[in-house]
Amino acid sequence: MTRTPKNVRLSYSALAITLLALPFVLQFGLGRGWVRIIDLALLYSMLALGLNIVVGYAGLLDLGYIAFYAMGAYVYALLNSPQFGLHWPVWVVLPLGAACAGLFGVLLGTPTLRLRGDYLAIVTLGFGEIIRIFLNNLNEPINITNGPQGISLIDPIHIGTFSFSHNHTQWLPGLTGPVQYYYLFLAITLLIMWVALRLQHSRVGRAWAAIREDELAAAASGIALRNYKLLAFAMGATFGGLAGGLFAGFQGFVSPESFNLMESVMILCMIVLGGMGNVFGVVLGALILTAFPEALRMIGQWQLNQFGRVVVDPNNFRMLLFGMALVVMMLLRPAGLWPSRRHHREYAGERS
Amino acid sequence: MTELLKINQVSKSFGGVQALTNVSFSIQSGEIFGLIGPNGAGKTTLFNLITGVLPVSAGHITFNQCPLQNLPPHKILRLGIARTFQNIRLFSGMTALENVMVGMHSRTHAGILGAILRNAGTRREETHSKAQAHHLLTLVGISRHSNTLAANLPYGDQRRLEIARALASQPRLLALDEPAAGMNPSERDSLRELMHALHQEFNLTLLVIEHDVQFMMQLCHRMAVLDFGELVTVDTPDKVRHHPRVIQAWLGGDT
Repeated sequence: MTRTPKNVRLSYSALAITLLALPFVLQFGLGRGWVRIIDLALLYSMLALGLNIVVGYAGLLDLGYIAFYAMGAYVYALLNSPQFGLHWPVWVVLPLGAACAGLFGVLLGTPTLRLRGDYLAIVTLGFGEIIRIFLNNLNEPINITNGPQGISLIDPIHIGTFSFSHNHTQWLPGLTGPVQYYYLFLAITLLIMWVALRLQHSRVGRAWAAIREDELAAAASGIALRNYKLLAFAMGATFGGLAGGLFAGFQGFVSPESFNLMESVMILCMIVLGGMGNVFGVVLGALILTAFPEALRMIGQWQLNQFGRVVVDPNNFRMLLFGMALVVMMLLRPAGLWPSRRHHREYAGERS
Repeated sequence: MTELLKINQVSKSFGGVQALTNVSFSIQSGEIFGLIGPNGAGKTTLFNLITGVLPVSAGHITFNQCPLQNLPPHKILRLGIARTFQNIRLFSGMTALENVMVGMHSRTHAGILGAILRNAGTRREETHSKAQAHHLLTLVGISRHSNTLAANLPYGDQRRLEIARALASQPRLLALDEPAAGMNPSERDSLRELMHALHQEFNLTLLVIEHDVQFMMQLCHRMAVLDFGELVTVDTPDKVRHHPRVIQAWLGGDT
């Protein structure tokens, strides 16, 4: 199809209609569970987009990114649950969670400024674990986080009297809680994508790219390394914190075990698989890696029907396929499924 | 002519290795100043001290009466000293145009809000940066490559692109570390012409490191000779050529 303005408009309209109709199609076609999965996929997209700013744009390998998600989630949970009997409005709590995460992004960034590559990865990994362990143990001497039991009965996201968790099937058949969350998360994901794209093609984005390519040359070109690295950490963490708050409201329950190292690794995998540096690739990676394990669950059911017992545990199978997929990816598409123009050509350049 | 860069009793040691010992000279505004010496004489070390990549061990460097001690590289650039590197350091995954636009960083202002909102001021600055970058690429003669990745440029053009990126910060002093390294004689000639042109057009002061003595003799107004981290002499090319210790250092002969 040629790229005439009419065709472009047509394909945008088609995309918009697909995105709007998707939850209903999933709900009536595959079942309600799939709408929840897509909701989670959108949350992971936000996380992946945030981490992409740190890793994909500025080239700072952060293995503790999930900590910012946890911060956002706990800020929401503590201020919107029976834990302290607080019920603050969403439009205060979500930005507050994002801001807290952003602040911690700067706090983490400051001591790591001189570190690069592997060393930075180790320190950020430690930071992620510190936050998780803190959350796990902050039930003594004063009970703040309720320890490993986590915080439950968190208020759903609500605007005025409209709660996103309540079904509104009387308004529209099929307008269930997950469907409403879908639209909210979709809107926020699109907003974050838009912000990320604008950042990428700006003076700030060029400065990040320059730091990623060559720190010394970037400094010699007038870029204040400290400020721009901290800015990347803060921006990434802010998006992570926002996603965390949404997660807490969506799930109604948070506990430290949702924020382990494996989650950080998964988000990094989404970026690498999708295409580091490219906003669309990153979202694609998040969608695939969230939906794929869920689809595999059906293999367990299938085995049960077929052989009367589960021969290969779907969870093991998942790891097996995962490992294979990563190896194949590195061989065939080292820059990701949908690489950014820049990263793609970096790899192409290395080969030629 | 006024004194632009003053290097006063500067020493640098790496652990027990004395790379530079009590080096003093000054560069006048508007001159083309050469820095020559055998391998390991401390030329690049001195460059790194001037541009803030390394801290000085002792002594003072002042630029335009402003002390450069403990300033990070980006602040020194802002004061007006831009540099290129001996082993080319371009942003290889970015296009030539983007490389030059990064060089403009210190002369532009758009921040995070401007980037997101893209208000009129930011858009204007962006348009201006792009036009200015094109102009600089034309000036160094590689405008046809503006959308080529830096990594894919021919070697000589990479050198030119590095110069364009340095010029983008509107420096008063341009420090070039072996700009002609690896070039054939005709490329060297055209590079020398470019350097003369830049010197004229921007009223630039140039500080150049080069091994090729012939190249330097034709280019520089004055030159400093370093040997084993010590300053041998500072003089005009003609006098330097006949300086006994220079002959000794280069030809190894007795004087």
